[in-house]
Amino acid sequence: MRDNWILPDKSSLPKAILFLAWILSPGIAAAEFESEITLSIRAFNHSARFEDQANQHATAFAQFNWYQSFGDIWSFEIEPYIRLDSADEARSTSDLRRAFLLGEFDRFEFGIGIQQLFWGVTESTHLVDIVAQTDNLAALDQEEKLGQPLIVFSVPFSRGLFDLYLLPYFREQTFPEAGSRLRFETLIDGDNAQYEHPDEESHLDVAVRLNHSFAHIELGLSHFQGTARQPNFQFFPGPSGPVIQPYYAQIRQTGLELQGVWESWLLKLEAIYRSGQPDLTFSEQDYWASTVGFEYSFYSLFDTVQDLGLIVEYIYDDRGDLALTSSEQDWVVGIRWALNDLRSSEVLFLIIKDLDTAARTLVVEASSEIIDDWELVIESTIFSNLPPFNPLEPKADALVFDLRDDDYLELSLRYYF
Amino acid sequence: MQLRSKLILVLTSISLFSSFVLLAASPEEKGRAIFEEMDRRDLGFVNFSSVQKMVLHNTSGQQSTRVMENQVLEGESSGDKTLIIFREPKKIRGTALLTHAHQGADDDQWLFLPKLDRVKRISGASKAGSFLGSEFAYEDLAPQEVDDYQYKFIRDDIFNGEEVFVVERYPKDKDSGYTRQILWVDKTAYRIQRAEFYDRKEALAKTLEAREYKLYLDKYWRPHNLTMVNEIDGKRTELLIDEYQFRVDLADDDFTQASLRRAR
Repeated sequence: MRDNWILPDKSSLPKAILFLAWILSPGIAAAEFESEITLSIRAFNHSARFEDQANQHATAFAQFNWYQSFGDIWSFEIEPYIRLDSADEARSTSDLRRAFLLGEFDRFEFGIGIQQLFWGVTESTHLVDIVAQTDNLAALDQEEKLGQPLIVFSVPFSRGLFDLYLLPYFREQTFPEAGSRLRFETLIDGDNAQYEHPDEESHLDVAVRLNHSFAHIELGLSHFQGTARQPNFQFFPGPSGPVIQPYYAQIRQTGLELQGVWESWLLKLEAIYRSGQPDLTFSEQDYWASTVGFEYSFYSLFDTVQDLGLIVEYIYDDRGDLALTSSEQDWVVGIRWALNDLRSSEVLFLIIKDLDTAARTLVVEASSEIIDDWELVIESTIFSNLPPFNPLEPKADALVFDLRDDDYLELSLRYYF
Repeated sequence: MQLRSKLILVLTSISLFSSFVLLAASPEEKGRAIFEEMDRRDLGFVNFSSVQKMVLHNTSGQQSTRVMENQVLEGESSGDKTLIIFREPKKIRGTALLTHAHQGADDDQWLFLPKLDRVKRISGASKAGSFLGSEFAYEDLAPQEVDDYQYKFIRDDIFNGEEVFVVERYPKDKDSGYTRQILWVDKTAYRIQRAEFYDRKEALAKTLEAREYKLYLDKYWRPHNLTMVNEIDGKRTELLIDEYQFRVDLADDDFTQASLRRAR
């Protein structure tokens, strides 16, 4: 009989250590850990417009990824994500970005669980991308995604891939709260989302995508049928002022992605045709939208190792003033500069200019490794000349009017381990 | 007995080959014949994989390291396929570069960016760009096909005590960052010992030395130390390989866009 039930007996201790070493050692068990922790400070140029908003706040976020393979076919990946914000309750959250079991068979792949997914080729907008919900509180660029529950069946063929996705559960968008910057004056009541379909978030959505590589062209064709990831907003008079409720329609969307490669040119096109989504005035109308552009690269700039890419894109939404986005007819011009130094420094600079108004958004992102495994990131977004919003005559261009004092500079320190 | 038959075989192939080189009249033909022989000697490797460590040195003595896994699949009818998976710096870990080389045509290249879960097609012109800030360009590390160049035999010489052929070659692809390269190829085993790279302005831009060749499967020579020196600014990059593993579990379906997304 052992008299200590808490500590393992001496003989099993080395075994426990060995087991732990086996689990933790990438070489033996084919397990891999990749994590990152980021600390950010975001400071706003103008004082807060609305009560409860802060003029600066700090955010910490951590993402842990554990990958484990079992033999040649099956592998499992899990990725929890935690975010804590000093002033903005809405940004303090946790999510399971991935918890995914993948089987790679000879002629097909089968996956089930929670996964991240991104479709598309253009830099400024992500029209075709639809499967995973955007974490719009994490970043403005729509490139952070919430974990999406899905079942995927993929069949690769000689120069392409066919994917079939079954999406049994819908992730609602997350919305800013009273303390958040970068929000509308009227708060969105995300807890009372309305759905077109009685199954609400349990509606089974379906998506298919076909990808094919031609000699100089990369083609992606996709179709989605189910709950719109992008909500419409319904205004209601509430006891203490107006209330906005999100409404998720049932939509069908066909998407096209084209990427042409020719010498130093990358030509890009994304186009969608969507039906079922109400416009800004809540009338349902089929529409199409497209982003078309190019990226031209100068390699070995001035005989150095530096590379410079020039980005030009044009965004068009058929609904015009009735679009659900302020990028309904905009030009985008940008520069991507890779210094290719020892510290892998990079700078991205984008200007988004509206065609009908003087509205302009400037985005700057710069990053550099300061010491091994530590990266410093500087980001800034500056809005100018946003046209005023008139609730009696809503216009797409004016949707972001409430952000006019939310120019910010963000400094982040990231540690990879 | 076995050794002797092998020796005879080697001798016969050398003599057969020498007579072929002699038959090749013009310097262009002789230059090309040397690289055809190099290609022929490397036939049948099937595939190999290696972990490569790249050490970048700048002129003020600072250094920085990149680590990647390099997988190569021999092409049967078409060119070779390579997959490079980046491990360090950790900022870009999981990023993977897939290249399908084509004889006499543009290579196809895709880059997987794990942060965005996005596969990006990249343009042929990127081959002249620096590989992760190193003195190696993407094209220096891409699979080489005989038809990618035109050749000219320059002279026989002695390099590090070994008899070598000195051959010039000219990239056919106008996206290449080079107008010409001069290569020192040893006569015993047709291994590149040294190379000079001339940029678009015809200036000597970089010098490569390949060292520590080891023999695998009794047939395939591979270098374990490659040093590229920038002749203009003095920076240099060392590419160090511990060991190559030949004929591992790699097939065509490990070199597709789908495989890029799950590369680890």
